[in-house]
Amino acid sequence: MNQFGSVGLIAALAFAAYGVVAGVVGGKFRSLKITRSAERAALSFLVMITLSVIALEYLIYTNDFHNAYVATHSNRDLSVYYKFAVMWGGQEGSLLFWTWLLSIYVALVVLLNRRKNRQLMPYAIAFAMGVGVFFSALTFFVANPFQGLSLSSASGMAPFFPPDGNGLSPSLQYPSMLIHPVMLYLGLVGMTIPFAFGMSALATRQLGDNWIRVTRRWMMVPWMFLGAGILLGGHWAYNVLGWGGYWAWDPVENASLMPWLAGTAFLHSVMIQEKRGMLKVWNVSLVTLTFFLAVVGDFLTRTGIVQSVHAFAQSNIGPYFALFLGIVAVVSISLILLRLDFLKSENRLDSVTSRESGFLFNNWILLALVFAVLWGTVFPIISKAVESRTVTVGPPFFDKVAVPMGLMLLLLTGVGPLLAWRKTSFESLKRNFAIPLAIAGAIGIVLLLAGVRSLYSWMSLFLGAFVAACVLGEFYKGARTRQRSVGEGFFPALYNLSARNTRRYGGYVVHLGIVLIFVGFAGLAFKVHAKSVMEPGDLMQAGDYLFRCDTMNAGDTPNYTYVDAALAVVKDGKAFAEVKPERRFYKASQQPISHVAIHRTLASDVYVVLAGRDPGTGKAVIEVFINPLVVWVWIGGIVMVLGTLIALVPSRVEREMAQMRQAQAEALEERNAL
Amino acid sequence: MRCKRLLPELIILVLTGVTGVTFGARSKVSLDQVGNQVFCQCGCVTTLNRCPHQIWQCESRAEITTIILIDIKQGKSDPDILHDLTARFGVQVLAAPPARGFDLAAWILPGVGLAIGLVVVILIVLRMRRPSPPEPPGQSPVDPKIIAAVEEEMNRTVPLTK
Amino acid sequence: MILALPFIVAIGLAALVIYPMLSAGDEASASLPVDVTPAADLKRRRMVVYENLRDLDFEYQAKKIAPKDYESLRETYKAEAARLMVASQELDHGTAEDRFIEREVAARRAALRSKVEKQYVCGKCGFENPVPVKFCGECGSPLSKGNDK
Repeated sequence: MNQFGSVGLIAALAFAAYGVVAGVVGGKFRSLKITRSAERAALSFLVMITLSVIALEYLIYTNDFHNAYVATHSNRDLSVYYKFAVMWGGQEGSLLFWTWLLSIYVALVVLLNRRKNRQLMPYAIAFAMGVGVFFSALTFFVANPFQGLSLSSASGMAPFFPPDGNGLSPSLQYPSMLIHPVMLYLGLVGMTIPFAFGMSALATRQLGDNWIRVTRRWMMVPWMFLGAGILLGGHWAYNVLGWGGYWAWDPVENASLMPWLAGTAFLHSVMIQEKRGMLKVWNVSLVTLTFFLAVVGDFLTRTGIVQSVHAFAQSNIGPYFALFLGIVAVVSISLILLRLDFLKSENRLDSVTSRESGFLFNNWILLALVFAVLWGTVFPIISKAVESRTVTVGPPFFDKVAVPMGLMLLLLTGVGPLLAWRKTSFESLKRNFAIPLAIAGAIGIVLLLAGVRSLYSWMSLFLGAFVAACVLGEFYKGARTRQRSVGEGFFPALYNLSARNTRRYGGYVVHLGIVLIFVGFAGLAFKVHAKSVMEPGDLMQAGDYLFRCDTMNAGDTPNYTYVDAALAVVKDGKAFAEVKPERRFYKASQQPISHVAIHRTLASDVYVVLAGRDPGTGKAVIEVFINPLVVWVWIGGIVMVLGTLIALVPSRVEREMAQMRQAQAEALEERNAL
Repeated sequence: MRCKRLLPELIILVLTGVTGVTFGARSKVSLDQVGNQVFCQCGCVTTLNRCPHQIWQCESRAEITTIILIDIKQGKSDPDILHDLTARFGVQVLAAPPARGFDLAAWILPGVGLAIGLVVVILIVLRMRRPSPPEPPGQSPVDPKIIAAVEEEMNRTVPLTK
Repeated sequence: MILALPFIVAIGLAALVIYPMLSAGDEASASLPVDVTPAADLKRRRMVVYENLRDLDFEYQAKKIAPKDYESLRETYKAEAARLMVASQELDHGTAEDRFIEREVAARRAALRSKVEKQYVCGKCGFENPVPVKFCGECGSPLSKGNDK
């Protein structure tokens, strides 16, 4: 099976390389047959990588510990579901996984564009396959998951193979870990497609907004996956790591946040090009930057060049990544410079207070934030090089730097959509902002009276109220207007309004999701933490809650042993909840891990950790966090995904325009046939 | 220039970001509070509060915690405790680099990046605002027939109500 | 035994990949269709302006835009649509796209050599001939020495 997988990989590499050449040649000569051939190469790439993936899964599921990767990252008693996660549990497997997702994306692009965008396709395939060449070559030559285990016994007799593997890292043995890495990878890998189309637009000199319209959805989908992946990662950290929070500004977290921010900037600035034909250079640069950051993120994470809590096998793939990033940078920058002439703006900016400049400011802060996060993440390396001493850049730094910028973004989330295109006079501003400001002001005062004293929390909630009022006002006003002019009921009007411009109203829903996430952030200031050593009968107080330890148990399963404690939670003299935190000890990897018990309500989470047993007394060490409003972070994430899905539905206007294009294309074909 | 209305808010945000000012009474120094500002040195690469190991398993966590608790008992202030910890473990124990010497760059550059970005945005806005080149003569007063055709075509395509 | 599978699949796929290259006939020499013709692009841009106008109307009806803003923006958009329509009409009048491309090329070249004196301007119709010619490319009247300016 090892050879099976390797053959699949090398054949995939060959198809990818062929795809690059055929794509470039087909694009250069605008040849239909060569482009067809390149498209088939891209599909073959998918087939061969899939064979490799099947081979690796087969090795994992048959517990074939002759394979080094399986022996290091799996074990016999691992449950069926988590065996699937072994695929991305280590360096080699996750590279193969990455390549596989890339091949799926490329195949989808090919299949969905069999008739459309014929000029863009050959170069788009060439660029995407170029990325495919890098990742499949890396997987085959440098980090091959299909290597046999070459252990020889001490006596030099027959080679010895382990009866069981080292097991999957216990922190990965958690349900959301089955989804989180997949989402994250779908997000990061997916950034390749908009990049490939952007480069293709440059290569073919088709720099109108055609490529933007083609790319928009290809950016929206990975952007949604990446956002969901980041939040699922936070959800996992919150549920598993047991320190009561979901975001630690760890380099690996930062690495996934940066491309998401850049992608967000792109999704906003493309609208200026579509509507007004401006910012062409900027959009191509931004799509390149997003892809670049996605690969940088992968690079930082995999090479261990920055220290991180996330345990990834470190290996020698760093220089290859550096080389690849260098090539990407040189190729894309020189293409942009070569085509600067074609990237001229079609229109002018009419006024500083306009939607256009709103988007510019949004891009400004998003990219400044990317820079700040990148700077903080790599500063330890720089400091080590310059001062040859180690410094740490952790949460206090990022909180101080990033939180104000995040709040500015939140403000723009509300302000931007209310600015009109081209120009907005003071009169119009007054009309739009008076009510939201009044509502937010009232809520702000109420918050102050209610005792919200933390500036950041207050600002989050105040601005959140402002943005929510702006966005809901948009829906309300729009629906009312339709009601008046069309004579529909309010809710049909609301539906038709959104259906007519799914992107705008889907976007508003995403903004509401952002508001909810910031509401969750605001709760951080009111966190309560308590810790105590308990045995059955003991009591502990945390905030308004009283905890009573009822029972303690210990048990054994094939994969792990565990202890747990049952606690009753009392609030205001009444029984509030029962919680049962657990601590597991995984046999194969010899590692312990806590399973946190969380009682969620919309107002706050009661978060109870069994940290272990006190070695002296054998009592349970119980740690409790009262985390207000955390649930809203997850709800906000779901709302964001829903909003993105709405935005992905083709709007009525779009469909109409597509029909028009179709008719034109047919007319053109007929004329050419004559 | 109506964006002036937003300026005070922006300034407040930036200032608070730089100085880290928060409203409200300063709470007493606690282990939790200091524990967020220092990194555990056991190799877990995270703050003391977030170190996944328990005190009895983790020498580094135990030692740092002891120093902090003793200092708190002696009534030392937050910076003094951090100073003591730095003296013992070196500057890497701090969860954020101190704002002096070369490390000042860590704090300044994000602000500089923000400022440069603002300048670039303003330059772009100014450049794009420059009036477009005068239109070729004879074309600028648009033919009313064309305008009529435009209006006709617009009404023919998707109406507002659809 | 099973090892033969990836080899067989790879060879089969390679044949499929190469196959289009070997095809003869119409397919073989066909070139990729154009995604966006200049005419379609102009029309689509006009549609975008209409959409902007409709949005403007809607926002005005929703009382988001002050009457004064509304009037002036409406005029600007209409003028933009009109310009695009004029461009479309010019395109249609000529020999379809070729004429447009010619003009674009001419404009570019003219911009490149803006310092060079305008030697081949037609005295009759004022057309700036992009290349040295004896007869005007626009109206066909001869370009005598006397026409040169």
